[in-house]
Amino acid sequence: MSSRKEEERNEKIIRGLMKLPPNRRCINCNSLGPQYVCTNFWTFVCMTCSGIHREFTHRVKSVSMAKFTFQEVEALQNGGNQRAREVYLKHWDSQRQRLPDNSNAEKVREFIRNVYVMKKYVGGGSFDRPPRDSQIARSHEDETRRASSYHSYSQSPPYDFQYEERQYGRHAPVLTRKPGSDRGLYEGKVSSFLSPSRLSDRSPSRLSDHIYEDRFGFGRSNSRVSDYSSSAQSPNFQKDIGSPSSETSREFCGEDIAHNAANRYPDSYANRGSGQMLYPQQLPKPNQSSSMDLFSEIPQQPPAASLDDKSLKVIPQNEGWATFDTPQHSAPVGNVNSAVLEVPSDKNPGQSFNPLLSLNQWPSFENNSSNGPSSSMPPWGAAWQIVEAKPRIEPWNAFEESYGQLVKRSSEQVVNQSSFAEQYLYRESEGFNNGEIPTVGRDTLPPIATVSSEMSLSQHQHDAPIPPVMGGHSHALGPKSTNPFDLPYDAKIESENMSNFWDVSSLQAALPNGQMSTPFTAGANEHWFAQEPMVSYVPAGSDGALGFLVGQAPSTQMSNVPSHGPVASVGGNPFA
Amino acid sequence: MGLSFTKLFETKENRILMLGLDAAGKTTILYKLKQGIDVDDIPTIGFNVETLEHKNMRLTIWDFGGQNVKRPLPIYYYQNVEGVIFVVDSNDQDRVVNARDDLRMLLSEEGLKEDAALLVFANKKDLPNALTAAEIADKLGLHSIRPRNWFIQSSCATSGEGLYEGLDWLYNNIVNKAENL
Repeated sequence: MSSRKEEERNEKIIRGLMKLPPNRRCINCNSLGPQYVCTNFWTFVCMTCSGIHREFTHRVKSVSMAKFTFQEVEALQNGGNQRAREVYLKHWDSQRQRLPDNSNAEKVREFIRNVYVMKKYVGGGSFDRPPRDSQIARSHEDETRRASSYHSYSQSPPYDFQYEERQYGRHAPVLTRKPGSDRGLYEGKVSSFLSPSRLSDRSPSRLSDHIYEDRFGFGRSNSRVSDYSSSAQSPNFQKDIGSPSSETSREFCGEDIAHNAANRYPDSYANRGSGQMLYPQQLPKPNQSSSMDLFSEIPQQPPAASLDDKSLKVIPQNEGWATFDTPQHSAPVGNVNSAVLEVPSDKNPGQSFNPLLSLNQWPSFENNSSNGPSSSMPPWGAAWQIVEAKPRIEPWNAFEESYGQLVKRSSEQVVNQSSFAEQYLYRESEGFNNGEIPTVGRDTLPPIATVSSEMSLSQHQHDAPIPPVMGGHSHALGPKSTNPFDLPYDAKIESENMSNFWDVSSLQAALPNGQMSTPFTAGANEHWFAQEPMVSYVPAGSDGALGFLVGQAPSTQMSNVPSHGPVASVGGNPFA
Repeated sequence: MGLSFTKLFETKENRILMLGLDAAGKTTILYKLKQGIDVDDIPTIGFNVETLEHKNMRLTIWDFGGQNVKRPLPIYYYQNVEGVIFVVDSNDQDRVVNARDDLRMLLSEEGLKEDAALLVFANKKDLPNALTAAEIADKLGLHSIRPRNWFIQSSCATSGEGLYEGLDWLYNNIVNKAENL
């Protein structure tokens, strides 16, 4: 006997067939939602008509109760109400003749007798009829349509693969021919789906090219910006919501850090967004929009004022990318006021956030973080020049995108790693090859990605950094620093880090106040670089926790805490 | 003696299961017996239960939808069953094989008593391509069912033909069983 799996599959197919427009109504009485199949004519009929069909010894099966064999499913796929209409109701003039109402059993009975028993309306001899051509044309149309709609269903559960088909075009006919191979197909698809990321490892350059193109698709980025701008009012809104900014809870600090990073690198965010990852996210979600707004505003703001000499330098190098980076500097300024306020507001939505949203936001955050090093770099003259070299950037991009496709969530961490790699490169300076960077990321990536995804979820749900996060951090050193949620890890950080942290905090404080004065950022970068990559990175991530301490310790710095807020505000949105 | 038995049967409910492939005519038989009417029936969802009196015997007939082949009936449906009515569409020659398989499974049910009688209705005998009762018996392999009492009766549920003959046999079988106790 057929296995249970196959039964389920058959039922799925039938359920899919039932959703086709012609099958949504009983072929006899036109009532909605037929639940029975007349297996003599392979039509979908309602309950009343099924009973009457049975009077004529037509066999009727209930979709929900009966078991369908594969042959039956196939026949149903090739049949259905549309096809049956073409055969049994070919000469039925729907203009003049009405289908019987199923409340009148006698009429239905008569109708069924005439149509299926007497076969009064079966097409055949009379080809001279004028409507014939149109009918034939229609039938052809129907057939083609069926070919597309029905055939897709033929061997595979219709709804499982529809999506894929839409995405990737139709399956090879070979595949459709094998009913049992669905699973294999699916896996194959998945693998193919995943494969690009894998491929990227081998041939980063190729992917990087694509990415590069995307990157330079200014139209996209612009449109994106516009999207953000549309909901640009957010800061005010956030102000309304959130007062607790004064609260210097660790969590907030952590978020703040993230926010800071985000603020700095709004453009990169936007650009990255142009990639597949961010697009879906942007579309409908209001929550995000609030968070996004900040970014949007940032890019919109004339970066020129905030742009430092260094930032300008950057621009020529990466063009669209660099330009976006520059806005980062400006961004914090605008946000400073609202930023602190925003943090709490972010939290509130955060709890309500769907995992999906969180996912979406995450990648963005990643991007920001990833950008973080790069953006921070620009003030840092030497490092930035290194960045200028296109090859480096490309591999970096490639990483992000490929991984984004793989797992959006994981992409964050990946990005982090990549960013880490970048930083590492920066620190190490020119010595590194571009190719090496991606490799590093790859090696560590897979585990990280998985961990990160889990982590991201947990984090989102809790809003606050969670100890389990630690595991993820342990996997990748780089992510630690970038991740705002690293707080627990940060706590572990030694006093030596503290010094770093202090530096960073001062920098951050300075950023909002000084409106991202380039010298200040430069100084911060220098600090980072001075220390070992690991250590320096950690402090950055730990900023949240440390930032909290900082805020308390120096009274003067307290004012700075809000400054963190602005930075955080950007980050806070994604996390919220 | 006779009085006591009638009393016994009046008080006791005899559980009868009615099974068979879908569209064999089970529900039609049930309601023909119960109310003497033809019902325009839709495929049975779940089951119908009717209690009817036949010669002072109260029969509670459980008519299970033929389509719930998906899941075999829970074992407690078979317990304390005095007889099984198995309905076959004698016009549907293609599926007699399926009916045979179902019957095999039914008779191998653990919960079904050894002495539960088996009544087979070869239904729809009025239809042109209907097999005779003997042919159905052959195809169902009834002759190989040893220990159990069985009886096949061709019938036409819509006209009521043959139904009471079958029921009489069932009645006698149950009575004999009780007497033998």
